[in-house]
Amino acid sequence: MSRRPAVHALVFQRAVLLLATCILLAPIAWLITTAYKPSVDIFSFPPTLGL
Amino acid sequence: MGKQIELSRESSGSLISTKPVMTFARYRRLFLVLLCAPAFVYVLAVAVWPLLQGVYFSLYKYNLMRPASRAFVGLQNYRDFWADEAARGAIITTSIFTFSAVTLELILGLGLALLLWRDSVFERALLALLLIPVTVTPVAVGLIFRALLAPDFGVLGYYFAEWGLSGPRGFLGNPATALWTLVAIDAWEWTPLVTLILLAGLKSLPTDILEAAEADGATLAQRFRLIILPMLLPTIFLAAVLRSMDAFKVFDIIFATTNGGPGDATNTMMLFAVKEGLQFFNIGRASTVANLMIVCIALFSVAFVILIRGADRKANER
Repeated sequence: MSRRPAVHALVFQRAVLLLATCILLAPIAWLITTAYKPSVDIFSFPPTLGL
Repeated sequence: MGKQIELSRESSGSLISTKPVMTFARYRRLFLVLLCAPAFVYVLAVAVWPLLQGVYFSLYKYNLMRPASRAFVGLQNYRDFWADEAARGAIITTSIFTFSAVTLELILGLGLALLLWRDSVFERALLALLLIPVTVTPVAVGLIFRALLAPDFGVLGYYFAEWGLSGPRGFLGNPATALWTLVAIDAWEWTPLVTLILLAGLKSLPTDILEAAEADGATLAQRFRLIILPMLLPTIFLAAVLRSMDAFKVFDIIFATTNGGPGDATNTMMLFAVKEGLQFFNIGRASTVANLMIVCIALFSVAFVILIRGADRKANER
């Protein structure tokens, strides 16, 4: 019975960590994808991620 | 003849007795001094000499466009600085930026450090990934966010403007939001470093006290407020000192994103000094600003060191 809250807390903790990592790495990921895109795609209007 | 020989012996004897004897201790001391000498010369040449040059130039009216008209003006550059409204604005902007960025980084960094405290492969892998932003050059960070937040072609800026979150000029083009956007960018880059410092502090805490508190029935909030936070204070102050000193000198991110604009909304002291020195070639005024920054950072450091000592003493008393 007492293990369930601990598991929930661990899942929540790791979800928050993953979210923080995604936020922190998103600009780097955009930078890397931009390096492989032609300039037409980089300056498209409206802008797209265009992965 | 015999007397003469005796005299010469005496004089030669006295000569031998006054000659300095190179004992092992003296050789060792000389060797240590010679070992220190390159570092000493390096500090003199790289740190002390430019500092003294800065103080010297700040006492002169010295413009590189008119180098021949250099004149000693005493403290006039300092008086002009205080009289200049833009300069006073730069001090306020720098103070707001430093305080906001460091506070945000400490709060987010402490939260992340607490989440990463558990020692497992998952947390260690995430920590390695989290540290990537710290490795990016600040100028590159500025350029990345300028491109991302541009209201016309930026992947984020376009949609922020479209959804009405930012104005048509984007977050960086609006004087009301530009400084806060720069604070967020600085926090994006440096929060992982603060996390790393605080995590090192958390991992060095004595586990027996925490286990005893847990066994006594202390809740997570009580353990954090009464045990973890007081014992972590010296580390928190250390992170605050390092980040405050760095944030106070911020230049690259602002130069690459707003260049002090719109208007003077993000004009920090460092930017002000660089513009005075490299745009208007006014070396006297640029040196004045640089000297004032050194004084401010020194005062910061002294205040923080006093706080750290106090916190350390309190932690030891507990």
